[in-house]
Amino acid sequence: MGDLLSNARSKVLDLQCRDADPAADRKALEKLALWAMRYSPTVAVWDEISGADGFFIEVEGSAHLFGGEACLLRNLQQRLQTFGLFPRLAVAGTAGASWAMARFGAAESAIVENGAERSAIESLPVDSLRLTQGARSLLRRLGLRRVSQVIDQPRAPFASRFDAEYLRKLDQALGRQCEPLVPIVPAPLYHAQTQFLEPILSADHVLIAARHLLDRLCSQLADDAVGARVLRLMLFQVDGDVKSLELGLAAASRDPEHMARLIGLRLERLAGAFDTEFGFEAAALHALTVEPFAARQSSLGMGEAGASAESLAGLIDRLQQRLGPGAVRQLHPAMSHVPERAEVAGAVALQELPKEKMSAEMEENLPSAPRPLLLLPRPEAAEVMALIPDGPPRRFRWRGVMHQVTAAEGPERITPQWWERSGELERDYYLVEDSEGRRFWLFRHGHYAADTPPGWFVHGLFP
Amino acid sequence: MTAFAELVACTNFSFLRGASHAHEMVGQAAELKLAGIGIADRNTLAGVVRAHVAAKEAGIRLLVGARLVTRDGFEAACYPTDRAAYGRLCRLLTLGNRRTVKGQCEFSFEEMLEAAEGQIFIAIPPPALPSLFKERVAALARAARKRTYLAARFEYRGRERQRLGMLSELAEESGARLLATTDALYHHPIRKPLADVLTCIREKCTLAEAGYRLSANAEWHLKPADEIARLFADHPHAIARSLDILEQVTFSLDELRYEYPDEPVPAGKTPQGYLEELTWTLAQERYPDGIPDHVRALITKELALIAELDYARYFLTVYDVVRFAREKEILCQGRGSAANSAVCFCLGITAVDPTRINVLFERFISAERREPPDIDVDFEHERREEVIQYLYSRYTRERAAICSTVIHYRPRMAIREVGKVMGLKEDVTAGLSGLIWGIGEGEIPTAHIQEAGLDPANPVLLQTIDLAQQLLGFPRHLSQHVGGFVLTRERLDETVPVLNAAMEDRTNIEWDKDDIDALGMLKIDVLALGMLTCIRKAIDLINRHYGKALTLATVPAEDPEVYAMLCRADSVGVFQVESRAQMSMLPRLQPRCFYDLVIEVAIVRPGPIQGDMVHPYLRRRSGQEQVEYPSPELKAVLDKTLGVPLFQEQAMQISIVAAGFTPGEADRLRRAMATFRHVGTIHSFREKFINGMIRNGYQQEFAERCFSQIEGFGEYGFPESHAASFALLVYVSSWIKRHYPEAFCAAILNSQPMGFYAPAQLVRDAREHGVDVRHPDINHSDWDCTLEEPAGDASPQRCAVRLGMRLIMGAPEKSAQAIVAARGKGYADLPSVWTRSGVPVSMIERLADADAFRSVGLDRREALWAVRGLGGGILQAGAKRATPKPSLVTRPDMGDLFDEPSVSLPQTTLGEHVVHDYSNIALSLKAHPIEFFREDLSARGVITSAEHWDEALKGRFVRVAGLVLVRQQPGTAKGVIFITLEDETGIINIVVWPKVFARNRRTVMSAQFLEVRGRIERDGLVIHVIAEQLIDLTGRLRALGDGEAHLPSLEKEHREGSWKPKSRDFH
Repeated sequence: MGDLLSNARSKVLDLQCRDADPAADRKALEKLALWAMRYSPTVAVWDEISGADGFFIEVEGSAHLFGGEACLLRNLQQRLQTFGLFPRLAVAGTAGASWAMARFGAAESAIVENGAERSAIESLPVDSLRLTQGARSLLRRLGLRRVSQVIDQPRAPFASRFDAEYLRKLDQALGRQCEPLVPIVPAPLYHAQTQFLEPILSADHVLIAARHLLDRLCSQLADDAVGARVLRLMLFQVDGDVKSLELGLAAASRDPEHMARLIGLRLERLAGAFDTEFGFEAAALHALTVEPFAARQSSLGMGEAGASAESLAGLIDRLQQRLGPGAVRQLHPAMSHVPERAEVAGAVALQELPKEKMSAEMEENLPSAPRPLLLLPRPEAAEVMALIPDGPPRRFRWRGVMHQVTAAEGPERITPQWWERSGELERDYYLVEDSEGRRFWLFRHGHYAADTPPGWFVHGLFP
Repeated sequence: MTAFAELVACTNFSFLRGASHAHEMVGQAAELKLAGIGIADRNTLAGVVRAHVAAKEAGIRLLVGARLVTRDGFEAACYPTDRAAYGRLCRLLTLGNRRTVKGQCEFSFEEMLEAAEGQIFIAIPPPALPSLFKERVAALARAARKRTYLAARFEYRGRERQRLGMLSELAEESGARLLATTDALYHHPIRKPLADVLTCIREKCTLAEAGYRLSANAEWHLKPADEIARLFADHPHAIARSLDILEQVTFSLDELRYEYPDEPVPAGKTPQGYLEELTWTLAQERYPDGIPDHVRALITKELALIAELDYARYFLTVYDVVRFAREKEILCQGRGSAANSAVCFCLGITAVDPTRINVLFERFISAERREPPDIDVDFEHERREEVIQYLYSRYTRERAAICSTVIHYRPRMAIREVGKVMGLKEDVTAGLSGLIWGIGEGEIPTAHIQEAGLDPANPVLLQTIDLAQQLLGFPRHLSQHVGGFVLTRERLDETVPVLNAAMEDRTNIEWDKDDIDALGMLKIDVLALGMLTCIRKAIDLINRHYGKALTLATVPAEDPEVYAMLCRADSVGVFQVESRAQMSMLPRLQPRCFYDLVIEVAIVRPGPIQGDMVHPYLRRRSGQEQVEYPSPELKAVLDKTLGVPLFQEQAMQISIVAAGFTPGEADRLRRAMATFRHVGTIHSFREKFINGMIRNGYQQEFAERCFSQIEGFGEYGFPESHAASFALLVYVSSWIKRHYPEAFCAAILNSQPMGFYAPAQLVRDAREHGVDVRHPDINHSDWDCTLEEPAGDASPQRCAVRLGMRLIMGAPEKSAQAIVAARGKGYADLPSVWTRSGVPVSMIERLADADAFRSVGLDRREALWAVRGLGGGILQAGAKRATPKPSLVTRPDMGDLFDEPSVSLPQTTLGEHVVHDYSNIALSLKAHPIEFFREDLSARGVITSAEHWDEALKGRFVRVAGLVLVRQQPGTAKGVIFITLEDETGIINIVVWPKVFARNRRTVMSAQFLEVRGRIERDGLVIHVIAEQLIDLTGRLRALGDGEAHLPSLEKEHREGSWKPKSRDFH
């Protein structure tokens, strides 16, 4: 640990190494935290000081749904284990104590009774207090290693020697001061959730479950005389993924039928993308925005915007819909001296693609001789009469026809991309015009050497 | 056959553009039988001296110039026709260099015009020919009438005829003349791949991404005249003009013959007269009892030789610097070939008395080569800057500057950059660079590639290695030489362009030492040496505390006690002979006189070791082998060293006397060895050398050994005179250590960082020699370590060493001085240190961590608690840097006003103290970390260092353990690894053979606390444990600390020859 990579490498010759990716770690953790919302709408991901590798779940209001704290812990542990994780879990009356027990407790999972926080953490090291680096270091230098050594010390001398966080964290762990959590998703105003005995697979079943949740939610809304404007349906997949649909209502409503219809429509539209392969094992419905229900309903007769004129874009869209993606392609310029590499067929981009910025030196190296309008898919061999070493063709036979050259330009010499080791040779390109006025782009592959004469190829045609 | 000279060519000093060395470009031009070659690198003259030397060797006419590129991209090669024009070119480049950042050169077209007098310009047209270009060519043609040309290049872009026609027209209209060139970037088309790689390195992209950054073809190479004639058949005059230019240019670098500055010679005196006068006067001072006859004869002879070669100014220039140093009481010692002459002894350039060593002066001043003698002067490293400033003020910045050092591509960097360009992942390049040991010497063994986990059949890897080998030795950029000064009589910037150095207010010239040598200009090396600082400080301490005044030259000579100490290998801290290799040589060599030290210094070097000369010498010295000479001629060369060549010049002499080299060839051989420049030429030298010796009747085996030795000398060779200078410092430092170990200890600690050992070992060694060493304390310590009165009953009356605050990590000198200054009659408590000295609280905390408050009754933990409570809690962690406002607001007794409830802190254990001592002052006087494990270790059957010295254990199997001080894998030791362990009783030397290393790689490379099981090998006083099993006990150290501080590694960083896993010596 803490070794330079090069040092580590010389110690272990076959060391495998990957770059640390804190952003990806964070994303994975957030995904897991979202998933954990199946247990409670309030889930807070740990920050840097806490270790950035776990989260808090506020289970106070929801533990009973799972048969109490112990059952909830067991349930959580099993599920996390099926994801291939090795969780350490703790339930306590304070976030601080649960963190301490999860991090430093002896058991993989622990439950601290309310009021027993002190005795639970006393024997733990001071690192279990979620202190700043500076405070941890100072405690160690003062020889204070266990929570029990600091818990009853007079407060004033410590307040003057440590940052303000120190006493706060100590108090929060012991429940002397409250600790607000910052949930990963803002807690909804109203919510309802449910677990399924068997994972449900079809959209129909989802709709039934949603309908069930809507009933419960709407009764809550009715109690407060409000209606929902924005709803969120969260579906928890067996594999830990969470699908979330948000729908806005044109007007506040607490009509479960209406809202169920909207959800149904949405599910229908999603049909293809709505992959239920793994099935859902829990669902939650949140009302994110509510309004007093008395609000006036607006007219539904909002005219649709007139169909826009036929555009190239529309044509391409329809062609692609019909013929499949990738059927319509566009040639883009690519930076290569090798002519067949200098264009790449790619996706259609109607806007001008941002050109790679060219330095003055790159412009100097840009080919200055003209390129043919038609580049043959593959250079085609030709029989050529030419002067050595690098004179242009005098006449050539291509596709069975003999052409007399009346004018020629060249050579333009292009060296192969040596690092690709393709066995390619240097090419000398010539633009020639035959007696009929047809213009060809030919190249000699290699140079005239003693033993093997170089090949000649037609590579393109000019108009 | 058409005659043609290629006048637009560059070298790899056109950084990251040119893809051939100067000697390749020039050599190829000669090979192609061109009439001449013009070297013009991009806004620099840095490569021209190499080209000049190569052109002389190859016998081809060279034009020296630069390719001027203006701020807005106008390009023209510029060749001065005479010395004055050359001066203008240098000044233009200097102007461009000085006004911008290092590595760039910026000037306008107008400034270029101002320097036009006497220049040949060859304008280089861009692909499009904008009207601005045409106007500028016309402007150039007006400024340099009949000397302005337009470069025409056959580009193979498809429309050459039109292009050449347009250029011809443009030339005609603007009054310039068309000139055929190839604008050569490389000497041969095989370098096209390397040129592409350089482009990618410059543009920071991979080959796959490079696209039009690369040129379309490989035509940027030198072409024979016939080919040029064919390509430019329509423009024959454009070819012939290249010869006109050759005729117009009369300038050659040979004209820069050195002119010595006048300052060191007083008006009205001749240099030789003044030198003789000085020498004889000062000789009287050196020999107050009369100059011995043979010294008088020596001086006479040397002065005659100096007069013959006209070197008086050189000696006077060096004397002038040395005289300044002596006035300022800066210790110095000359070295280098001519330094240890009788004249230099009189002038004070060396302190080696010619009566103590018999060095033949004329051997080092080669009359034949007519090169100035070479004298380097070492100064105290902390005071060298004063000497440098003196040189600047005496000769002014216009006439004094430091040489540059060319930073070359080394294997690791070459592999890394080529790998990146080839698109290899960093992982793979890191693996590859792990096996670069020996790159450049041919193929990398397949097994090594496999060992790094790579596929030896992978063509990309092979291509990468091949290209990296080509890149090896290419210059990357210029850096400042450590101390090589060039002094001139006329303006320096008319001789060579001057550029800004990385260091502020420093400038250096574009040429390096070799360039200066090659042109025969005057150079004096002003170097820094830590040991001189140490000796100076020790001499001062001895003078102050014992009233004894000493100088390098007056330290009592040939003291048998000093030699006895060295024969015991009791040499920790002593100059040069303190390394493990030297320590195991001392008891074998048994030095008993000064010349033995000269040999001792020279023998433990890569040269003699690689040449397998060490054992023959030792056998002959101890009489086990008869002293004989391979031939009577070699007896003269090898007489002093019992027939075994040990010194660099002996090896060179052999090449002359036995292998038939001319002195010039011998010198070229030496230079070829010293740098990468002539990789490849070594083979031809080798053949010539060995064949030459065999032809002269020597054994092939002896010839091969001699050559290996020359190879080893390369960069690390010691000439005899050089070894003598070092031997003097060995003797002086040994004498001080023997007679004043306390002064030696304090002085060497005050001169850190230097030498082979960390403060912990230096202090330990001093304590073993009976020195009382005391912990740093706010009431007793200065910034430096000091000598204190001995404890009352101590006898003999030897001072004690008080460690200074400089040992405390993170304690700034300024704060320490403030504490000393405000100390008065002493500090009574911790707050008063803060309020009286005004230092930041962070400093007080560093002192607390260092346990420096014992004199006010606080240990480190109590002191830390008190520090954090300073200011009655006003200070929070974030405000630690606040300084107190003394007097009014805060008074020392404030703490008492606000009675704090008492807090009980746990007692600090001894183990915790030791760990904190090590992590704060890098040593502990309280205990050795291994003591805490001794009981355990004994139970495991581990013996101590003291016990393993027992003669009865010779050849027996033992277990030893200790902290790792040094890991080394000398390049000369064929994969053997040497580890030095330390326990509480001393050190233990471990040898790990490659097979054992392979099995224990990780432990060997990373363990900090190591147990070794193996057999004791003993030769007199030299003891090694040959490791068979190695056990990493590092984990146990954790138990010692408080979880916060860990015992830091005792391996001293950057120690000479030390080997850390990251070091390139590995594999």
